[in-house]
Amino acid sequence: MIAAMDGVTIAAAVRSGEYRAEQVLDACIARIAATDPQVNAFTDRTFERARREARAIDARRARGEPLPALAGVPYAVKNLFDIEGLTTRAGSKLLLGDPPAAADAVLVQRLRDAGAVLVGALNMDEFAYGFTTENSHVGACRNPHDLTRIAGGSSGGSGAAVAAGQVPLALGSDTNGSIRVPSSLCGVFGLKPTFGRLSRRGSFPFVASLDHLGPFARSVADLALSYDLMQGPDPLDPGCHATRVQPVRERVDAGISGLRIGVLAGYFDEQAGPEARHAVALAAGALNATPGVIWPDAALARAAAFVTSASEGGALHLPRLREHAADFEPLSVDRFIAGALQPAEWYVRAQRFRRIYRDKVLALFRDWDVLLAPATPVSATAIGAEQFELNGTLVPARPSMGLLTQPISYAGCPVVAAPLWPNGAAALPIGVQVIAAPWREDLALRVARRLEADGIATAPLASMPD
Amino acid sequence: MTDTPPDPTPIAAYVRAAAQLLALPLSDAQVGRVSVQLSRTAALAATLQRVPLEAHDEPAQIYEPAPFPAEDPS
Repeated sequence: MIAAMDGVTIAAAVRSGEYRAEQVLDACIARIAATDPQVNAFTDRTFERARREARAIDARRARGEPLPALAGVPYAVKNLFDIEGLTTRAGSKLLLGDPPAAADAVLVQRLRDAGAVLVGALNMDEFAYGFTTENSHVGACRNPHDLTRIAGGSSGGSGAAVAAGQVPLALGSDTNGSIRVPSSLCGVFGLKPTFGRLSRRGSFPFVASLDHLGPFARSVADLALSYDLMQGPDPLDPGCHATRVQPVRERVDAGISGLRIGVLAGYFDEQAGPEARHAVALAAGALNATPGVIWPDAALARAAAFVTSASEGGALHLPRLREHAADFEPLSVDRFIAGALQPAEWYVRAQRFRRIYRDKVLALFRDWDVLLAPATPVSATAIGAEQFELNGTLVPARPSMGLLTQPISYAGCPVVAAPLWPNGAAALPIGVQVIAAPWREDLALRVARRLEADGIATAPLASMPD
Repeated sequence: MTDTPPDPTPIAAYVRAAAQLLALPLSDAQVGRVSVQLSRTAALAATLQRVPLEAHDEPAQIYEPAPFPAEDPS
C-alpha cells in the first residue's frame, strides 16, 4: 500500500520503475479523498499542478534521465507557505481577497527542484497563534488516531496529513512548538531546525524573531533527506544565518556511541503529565541517558517567549485588528489585541533576556550532546476542551500545550520530535523532544534514528479507511 | 453623550487607554476579555522583571542562536 510507504521508499520505487510518479499521485489523491472528510487536514488541493509535476518525472525517466532525490514523492504544506497561483491563507479568512502568490516559497521551490509533487495546502491555527488547529473558519483539524481529539497546532494539518497517510511528507512552521506539538499528538516525526537554518522567504510570518520552518514525516530518513534538500543560504532572508549546506543524511545512521545524552528534569518534569514522563523514561532507558539535567531558566524563557510572541504578533496584525477584528479567529483575537497593547518594556526586556539565556544554554551544551524532554504535557485532548489536568491542577488547554516546547525554541536549538506510544499502539501517542546544540541537527537526528531503529519511536499509519 | 462607566480594574483602564492611543476600537466586552489575556501576560512579564539586566546587556535584534560554524563537524 503506497500510503504506508515513506518518501525515501517511494522515490526509490519511482526511480526503479516499480511505480510511476503518476501512480503514486493517484494513490495519494485517493487516500486524501477517502480520509480528509474526517480529518479535515487539507484547505486547498493542487492536484492539477501535482499531475503536471508527476508527469514531468515520468517523462524524465522515460527519457533515461537520472531522477532527483524526491522524485514522485507527494507532499503538502501548511497554508502559510506561498504556492504560486494560490492565495496564501495563513489560516485566516482575512487574506482571502489578497492576490495569488506570484512564486512558490523558497522551501517549496527547493522540494519542487528535488522532484517532490505538491498536492495541497494544510489547515492551521489562524496566523499560527495556537496549539490546537481548532480553526473556526474552516473547521477543526481532527487527530487521525482519534477523530474526537485535536491534531495539535499550529501546524495541525501537517501532522494529521502525515499520520493519516495522505502524504509521506509535509512542511510546517514552529514559533513556539507548532511542529513539535502536532508531531507529538499525531504520532509522527517532526524536525524544528536551528533558528536561522532554513529560509523563511515566501512564508507568512507570525513572530519574525522566533519563526522556524521544517518537515514532518513518518521516518527519520525522510526528515533528514527533505531537510538536506531544503538547506541553503538565502541572503534575501535576514533571518537565515546559515551560510552553507551541512548535510546530515549520510550521518543519521552513525549510531550514538560516545554521545553524552541527558534527560531534562526540574521544569520539564513539573510541567509534564505521567504519560509524557513515561515516554521520556522509555526513550532514556533505550539510550542509557543520564537523568537529572537542569535546563537554565526554563520558566523565564517560556515567559519571554510568550511576551515576545504576543507583542510581535499583535503589532503585525494591528492594522487588521483596527478594521476587521470581528473577522479574526474568535479563539485568538483577544490574545492578538492584548499583545498589540503590551508595554514596550516587556518586549524589550524579553529580548534582552534572550541573549543572556542563549549563553547559559550554550554553556549547558559544553557538557551534553543531546538532551531529552517531553514534547507536550499530555497527549491529544478533546476538540473544544478548555482545560486539561496537569499533575492535579487544571490548566488552560490551548496555551499550555506549548509549555515544554517554548523554552527550547526561545534558545533556537534544533529538535526532533520523536513519537512514542507509552500506553501501547492502541492508545494515543506522545512525543519526546530530542534536543541538540544550535547547528547540530545531525546529533538530534542520529539519536532519533536510534530510537526508531530500536522500535522505541514509531510513526504507524493511523487506522483510516482507504 | 453617554459616559463610559469607570473600569473596574487598573488593567482594564490601561487596555482602554492604550487601545485609544493605537486607534483600536474596543467594545466594553472586548475590554474585559482583552484584560483577562493581558493579565496572564502581565503575570509572566513580572517574572522577567526579576532578571538583573545591566545597561550593556543589548537586545538580540536579529537573534542568532550561536555563530554559524566555520567548519563542519568531523
